[in-house]
Amino acid sequence: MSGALTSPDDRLARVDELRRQRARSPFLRLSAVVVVSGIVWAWLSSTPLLGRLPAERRWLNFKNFLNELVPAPVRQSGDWSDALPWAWNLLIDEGFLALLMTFAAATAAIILAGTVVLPLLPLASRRLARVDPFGLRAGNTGTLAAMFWKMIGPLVRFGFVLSRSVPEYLIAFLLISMLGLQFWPLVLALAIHNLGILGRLWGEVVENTDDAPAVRAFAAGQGRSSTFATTILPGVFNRFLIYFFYRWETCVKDATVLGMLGLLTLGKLIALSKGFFWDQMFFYVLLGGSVIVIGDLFSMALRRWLR
Amino acid sequence: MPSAFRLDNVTRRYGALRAVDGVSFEIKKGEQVALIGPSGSGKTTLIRLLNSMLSPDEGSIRVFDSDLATCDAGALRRLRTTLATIPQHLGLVPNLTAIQNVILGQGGSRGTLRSLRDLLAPSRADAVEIHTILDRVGIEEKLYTRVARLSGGQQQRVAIARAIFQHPAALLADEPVSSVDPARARDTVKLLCELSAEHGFTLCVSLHDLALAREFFPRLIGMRKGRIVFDGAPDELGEEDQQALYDLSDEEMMADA
Amino acid sequence: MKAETGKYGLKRWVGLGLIVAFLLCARALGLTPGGLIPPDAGHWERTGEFFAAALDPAFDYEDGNVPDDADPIWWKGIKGVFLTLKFAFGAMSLAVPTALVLGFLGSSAWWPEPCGRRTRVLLRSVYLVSRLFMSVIRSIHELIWALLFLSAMGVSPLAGMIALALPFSGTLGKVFSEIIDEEARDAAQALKAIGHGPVQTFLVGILPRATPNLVSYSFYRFECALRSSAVLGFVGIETIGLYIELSHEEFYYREVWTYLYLLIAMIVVVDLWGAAIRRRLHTSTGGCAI
Repeated sequence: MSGALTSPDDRLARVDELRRQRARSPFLRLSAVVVVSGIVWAWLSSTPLLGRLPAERRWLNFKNFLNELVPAPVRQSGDWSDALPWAWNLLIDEGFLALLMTFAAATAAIILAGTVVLPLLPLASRRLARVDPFGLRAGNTGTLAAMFWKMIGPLVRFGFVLSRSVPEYLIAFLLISMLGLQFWPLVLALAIHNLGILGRLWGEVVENTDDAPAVRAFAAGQGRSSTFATTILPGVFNRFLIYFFYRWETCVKDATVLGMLGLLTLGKLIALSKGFFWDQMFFYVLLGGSVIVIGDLFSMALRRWLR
Repeated sequence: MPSAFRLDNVTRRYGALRAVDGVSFEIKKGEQVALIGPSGSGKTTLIRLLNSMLSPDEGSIRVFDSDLATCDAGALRRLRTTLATIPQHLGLVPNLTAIQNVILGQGGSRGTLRSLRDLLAPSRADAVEIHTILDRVGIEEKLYTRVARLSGGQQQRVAIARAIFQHPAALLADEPVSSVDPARARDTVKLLCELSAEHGFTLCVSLHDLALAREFFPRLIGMRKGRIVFDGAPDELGEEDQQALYDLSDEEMMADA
Repeated sequence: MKAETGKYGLKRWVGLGLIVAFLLCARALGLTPGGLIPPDAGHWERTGEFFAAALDPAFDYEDGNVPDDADPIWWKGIKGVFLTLKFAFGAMSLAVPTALVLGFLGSSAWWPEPCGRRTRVLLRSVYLVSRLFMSVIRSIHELIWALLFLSAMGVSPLAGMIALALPFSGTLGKVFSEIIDEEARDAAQALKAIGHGPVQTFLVGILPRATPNLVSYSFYRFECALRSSAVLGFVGIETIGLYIELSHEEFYYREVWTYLYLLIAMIVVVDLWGAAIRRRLHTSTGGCAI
């Protein structure tokens, strides 16, 4: 090219030509356009943005609300030292129990989800769940078995998509109307939703792992599930644990809120005191929040220490 | 001839290791110098001392007549804008295009806001100049290609183009050919020397390939264990010097492995 | 077999510990196997009705008292889907810019080095304060934020959006700062060597490199925002969740299924869209999964 481009104008034309030819992804551009127009539409269609109440009313409500957040004994006496016995009463009355239940429900749910996902992973793997794992010939198979291995991967992965698509709150709401007001609906709802999410996260770890040892094991005559259990799983175990705890943290937060459906976690106490005892509600919100923050700081320190 | 770099008794330690140990030399403006020596001899540390990214534990370094020890942060940044450096792993941003990477060569003197504008919408004058440089180094058709999609040799050309676009007074390159095949390595070293002559900047390249250094550079500085063991023209480099440079004792062989 | 035992070793005990933990929790919660089936005839009947309605979603209102000029149910459902999308878009458009600022403050990638002791102390405290702030705003669930905001500001679109945006900017900001801090620094070093300042290096050398991961993760959170937006219906904000709750209260299970199918369809479509975007950006959700 160098000989042909002597004048700056020629060069500019060439630059423009190269610019026009540059690699572009129409799909990503379209996605960007959709997202931007979605945002613009969201704001333009949300009128009136602040609701229909007149401004002075809104301001008055707001001031009342702030006032009601102050603990009742403090509002009467004006002395903040009265807040301590009040808070302690709330804690031993139901607060501690609710906190305990929140943790128990989250723990039970995430363990349940993990137990169901683990054996499904080899069936969801793009490399293992096929007629010829890793492209290796697995011997002659019947038509039925071949069909099974063709279908099972997409089927399991779609199952994961479906189970994470419904919000846990909605699942719990529906399950309570069937099973009655007890903790199973809450645990099941959390488990079903997290099953889909763990399936995706753990699945991604499995897909991204180095498969050389697995290929060796498979070539040496091991079956699909034993290949998974002996070569893939030990290598990804630690990353699995990290995701497991990430989701457990989320479960604690979600279990808190699911109590709003009527089960004794902090959510129930929050929902019950809403509207009448804003000070109590605010206390429970802060209680739940501070537990999460402490857990968060703890896991931050733990991760730094592990590294 | 005024000097570009002048080192007096410079030492730099990493813990107990003396990576550069009592080194003194001067490089004149416009000179072309190859730093040679086995890996681990202190070449990389020396280059990082020359471009002021490291400061010496002892001794003084003068770059274009300013003493690095007395420079404040602003003066140091201004000085660095006149020194182009090509690090061993090139230091390109892989998901930006060639033109975006090259235009960052002048980022140091242009400031933050201008750099951001350059990345999003380069001016026509810059685009033309960068195209000219890429044309010179032989990859003009890659102007708008993302660097991650270029071959190793092409990425090296982008790094060189970024250095040229910087309009440097001196160019420092650390093992620029360590990861390419011999034929391409020769082309690259030749290109660097030609560019140095065309633009009149001082060139200092570290190489472990002695043959290449002898073919293209009028002056070689040989390093071994942080010390200078040879400084002179290629034809002055005798058998003994080569042995001093490259023949490892058994003990060192063990340490290297 | 021996080799396998060696490979697992300690990990076996993790498994055992989890089983014990599950049993303990189940005891505390009063979970029994019998609790997995409906407790009495009334609940059995309702369950049967609910699942039977799955095969027969409503195309007309089950409620006879709906005025004639009301929208047909499928149109109401689609409107619900769009209202759900609206809150998710609005919330994310607030959360992503906030998270970028918080993520920047909560990362060490833009710190000048070497820097003086006083600067260092200042930067460390900015770092810690922003991390703590992110932790606090994401420690409270979006539904509870919604309760608080609706009580303080009254029912309004903005209250819903802010309630969603707050915990989301906490999570996004935390993950943004982690993505940024884990990005390779070789280009940044090279740019510093030719005179770029620390913040400039961050903006032109590190941020562009992290962009694909930031975009992927933001999109993943958009999927989460959609689900949360649907749930906001349960505290009275008009999204598809509100329609589901109202129909369910009246035992109009066929209507519930109509809305459920629309909701699931929307979320699956967005999930697949996100997967396609990640594929083209060569990223995964890996490493940033909250």
